[in-house]
Amino acid sequence: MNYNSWGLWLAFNLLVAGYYAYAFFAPASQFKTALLPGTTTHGHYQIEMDCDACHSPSSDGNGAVGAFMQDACNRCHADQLQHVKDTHPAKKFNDPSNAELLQTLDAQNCLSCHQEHVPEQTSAMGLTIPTDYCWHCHQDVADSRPSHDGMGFDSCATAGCHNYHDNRAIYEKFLNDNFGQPDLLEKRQLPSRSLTTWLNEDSASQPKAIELKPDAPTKKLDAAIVADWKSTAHAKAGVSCNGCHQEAQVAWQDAVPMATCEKCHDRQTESFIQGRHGMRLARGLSPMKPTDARLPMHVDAAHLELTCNACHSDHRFDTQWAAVEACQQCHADSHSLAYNDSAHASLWQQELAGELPSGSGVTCASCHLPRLKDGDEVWVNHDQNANLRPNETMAREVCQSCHGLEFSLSALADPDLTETCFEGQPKTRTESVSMAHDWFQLQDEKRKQRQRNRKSN
Amino acid sequence: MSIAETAHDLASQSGVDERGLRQCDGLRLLIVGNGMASFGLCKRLVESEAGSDFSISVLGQEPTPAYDRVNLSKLFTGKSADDLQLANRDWYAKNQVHLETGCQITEIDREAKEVVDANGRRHPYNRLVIATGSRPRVPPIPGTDSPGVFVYRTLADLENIRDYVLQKGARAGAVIGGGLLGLEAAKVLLDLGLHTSVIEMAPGLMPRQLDAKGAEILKERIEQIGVHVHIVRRTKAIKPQDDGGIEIDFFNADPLNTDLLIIAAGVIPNDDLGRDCGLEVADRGGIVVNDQLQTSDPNIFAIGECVSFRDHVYGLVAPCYRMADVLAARLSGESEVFRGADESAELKLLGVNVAVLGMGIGEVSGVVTMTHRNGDNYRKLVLYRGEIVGAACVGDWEELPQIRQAVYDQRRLWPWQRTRFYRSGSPWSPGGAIPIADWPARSVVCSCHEVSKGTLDELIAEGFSQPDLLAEKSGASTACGSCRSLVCELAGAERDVQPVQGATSMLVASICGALFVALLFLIPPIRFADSVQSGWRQVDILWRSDLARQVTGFSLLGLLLIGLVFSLRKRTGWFHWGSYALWRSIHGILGAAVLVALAVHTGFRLGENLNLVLSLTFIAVAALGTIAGTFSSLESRVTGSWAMLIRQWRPRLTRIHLWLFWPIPLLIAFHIFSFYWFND
Repeated sequence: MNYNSWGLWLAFNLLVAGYYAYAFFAPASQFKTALLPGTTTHGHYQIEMDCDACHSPSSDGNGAVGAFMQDACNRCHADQLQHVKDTHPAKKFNDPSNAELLQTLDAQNCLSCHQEHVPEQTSAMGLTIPTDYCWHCHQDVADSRPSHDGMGFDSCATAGCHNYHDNRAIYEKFLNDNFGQPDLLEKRQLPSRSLTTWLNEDSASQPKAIELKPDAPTKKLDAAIVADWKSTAHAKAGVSCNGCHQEAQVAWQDAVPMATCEKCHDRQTESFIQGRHGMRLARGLSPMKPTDARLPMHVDAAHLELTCNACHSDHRFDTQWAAVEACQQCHADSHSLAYNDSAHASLWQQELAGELPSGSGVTCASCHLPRLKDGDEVWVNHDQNANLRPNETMAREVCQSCHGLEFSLSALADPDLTETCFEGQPKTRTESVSMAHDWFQLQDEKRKQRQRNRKSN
Repeated sequence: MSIAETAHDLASQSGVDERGLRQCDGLRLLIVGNGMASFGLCKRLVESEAGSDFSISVLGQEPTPAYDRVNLSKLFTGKSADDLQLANRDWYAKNQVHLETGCQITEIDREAKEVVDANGRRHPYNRLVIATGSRPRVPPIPGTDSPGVFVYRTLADLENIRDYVLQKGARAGAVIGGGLLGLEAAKVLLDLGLHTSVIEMAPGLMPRQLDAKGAEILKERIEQIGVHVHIVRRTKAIKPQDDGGIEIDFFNADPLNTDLLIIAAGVIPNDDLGRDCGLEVADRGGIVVNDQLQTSDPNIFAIGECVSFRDHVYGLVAPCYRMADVLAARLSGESEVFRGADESAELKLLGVNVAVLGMGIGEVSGVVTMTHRNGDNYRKLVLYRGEIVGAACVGDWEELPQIRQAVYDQRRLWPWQRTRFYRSGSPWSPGGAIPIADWPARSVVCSCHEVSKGTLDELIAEGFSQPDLLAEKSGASTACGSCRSLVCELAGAERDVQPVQGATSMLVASICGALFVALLFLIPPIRFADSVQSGWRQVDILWRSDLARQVTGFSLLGLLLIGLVFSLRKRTGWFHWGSYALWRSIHGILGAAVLVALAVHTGFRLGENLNLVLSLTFIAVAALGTIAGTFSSLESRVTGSWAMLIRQWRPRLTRIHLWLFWPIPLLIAFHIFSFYWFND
């Protein structure tokens, strides 16, 4: 090669090197695509350009091999696992009687089962090992549970029976306790949100003598806005214009940041950024847009931004609109499109018409932003994904407000019903409830037998 | 049709006995005419030893034995009449060919199977060949019989012209006819020192062969030599003047005065003998023959310019010789037939090369022509369905032999060759002729060191004429050694061909490599086990486990690095252990092995983004390597134009192989870096 060729070689390589080196050190952006080794899972793809979200050591990492990534998982998911009463927590294997099992499957490391960027190996819930993994430790399940004899190990998690982490809605005792419930319960009503309750009360707990006086600069005052504001809890609670638009005596701002909402609505904000809608905000990225979604979305909504305002718009913060229409602005998958023709929707229409009491209707939000009881308080979890990891969770949190457990689990396990937005009956009934009941009866029988034996002895 | 069938066919058609011609021992073969076709037939019969089957007689009208009419114009530039003779009388005697010159035949008596000459002598025959040629066509213009008006055909014509010039002290001459013959005649006049004019009726010179642009350039070049060319001149009359000169009057221009005029306005077949004895004669002249060159009388054959084959009279020597070939073969009992002949012409007219090869525009519909003009040189290619079917040039064209071959083969012309033709006037990059001595200076002899033939020529001129010295000075043949024989040949030494080390293993490795490249694209990614209970879990760990991926990855890198030692051997001076060819074959084998390692490392997954770029570049490098490897291993095995082609392409392929390799070290670095960066 002559000098020209070497020069060209150098220039070309510098170009390539520059491109990839920039990709390594650039902030989260499309440049990072160059380094993506494979399609990211549906759970993480929204933040895939922010490599550091997972690939950067946290300050509290203990530095052990495999710990960086584990830390990264924990940063977002540790609390969730704790909250769902993880059936297979890492600490379970600190027990010497279980520790031996780690040689088969390192169950203390998230990455043993949940790799990223390996689309070929990825199945539902981001699982990246074959779905019959239970076999590793539970090969002899039929010895203790004869009813399980002959069941495939790839069916443990698919029939509404077991999950690896979250079994809150399907552990044996819960199943047994909810045995025998009719498909439709007698009392069918969602709990009322604490805020609604409070607003409807004319109690002494409400701040008194608040002058409903808008304190915005005159040029910003608009009769319609003021009217809207006056109808809201904000006005009732004494949150004036400046409360949001000019907090802490800084300059007036038209757009209110999430941080301002968070001051009062911390649980809602916190849960919002844990779900699919807010996870980009949690990483400091731009808000999620329908155009970034992998689910089908309405084209004309492609560039809407998912902030608090996306559903709670302007000054009326209409929760009825937020519960259905806000979702329908964007979502265009078959489940969402089927909602309007569903029995749940007609209940909602009747509630809106005043034919049914409040809490009788079922909206998108009823299931996906569930009203959760925490002591006396009923709050709305804004992590739309929280009861879909996996969806059995929803049976306990939502469905059982109106339906029996066995019916609920059966419906949730039927993929066709998901498509029709639960219009119709489940094709097959989940046997887990009755199996659990039989098991408990057998145990009961045995216990009684033992008692009888002791007595007779 | 098989030979036996043809022979049977021939015998039944000709009415001769069933044994066919070959068996007709001692038959009397009479050839009327002793021109070039006649001589060609004699020569071939003698050479094929079929002559002994016949007693051959040749009756020629001219006083001398057959001579080279094509080069008649050389008579005044150093050649004597004897030089032009195709063979002297001794040759005829030695080969027992009875030759009579100055013998004009006036009649054929088909009944008696005899010919009658002007003296009334009768010559019997069993087989008669009419090869009476043609005579100049003299157009019906008043005054063509004036003194000083000549035709241009025979030695006698030329002698008459010379005598007239010397006798009259002529200073100016003109030729009517701007075709091949006319320009030859003009050369004669020019050689005699006359002020020469050419008069052509058509709008351009050589109207039967050249298109307008070619004719235009030929006219310019001929005028540069000093010939006055008058085109589109319709001659009205030729008038002898009192001073002994001639005035040529035109319908459409002022008269032209000259001392001497040659009429070279085409030829007329000498078909009178045939016509008079009732043989079939074409409307436009010429004795009609079939593809066995047989006239309507099965015992009478005809060849040469007196023949009309499929309504066409051939006026060039090559088709006439072709007829002589075919007839000689048939008389020798072979089944060859005449299917028409190529009327390609390559001539030096007045010092200007003119070549017309293969088809012209009008012969088939749907042809495309491409022309290139560079100064005085004009080149044209005629394409039919993308293949070269014809070519023409005025002026020099060094690739003419290749072009001739391409026209003959009807070789396909690729788009980039068309572009190159438009740009450079040749569809091929320099090179292509067979012996290395004829290779163009720019063509590569040693593809390893890219030594051109020109460089070697210079060194030889400086005195480094021994192959070893030449090799040492230029580096040629010191690397892989496959061009050793070429270097020896160029140096004029005996070909000293040594088998190139490792060429066979290189070939095998290249072919395997090409196969692996194809497999890498064709085989879908290897699937992962779908159950933890499956035995495949023990295998797919190769692509699941970080450790396994590092092991296969670094093994791949190791193989690659060893393979690169070859590049070190080639490009640096300090590493000389092991022969070049040996290292090259090791490079090839490792290259193929690297592809296997790649398949193991990736499980036939080409990856995404950076990994995809890396694996595609990798495979591209390997693909080019396999082709270059195949070429290099064939280099010492093939000869001729293939050798030239391979030498031409191997350095290019090697260069692309190298260029594609450029980003690989960097891409691998990033690939490895990203693994560790993003891994824990």
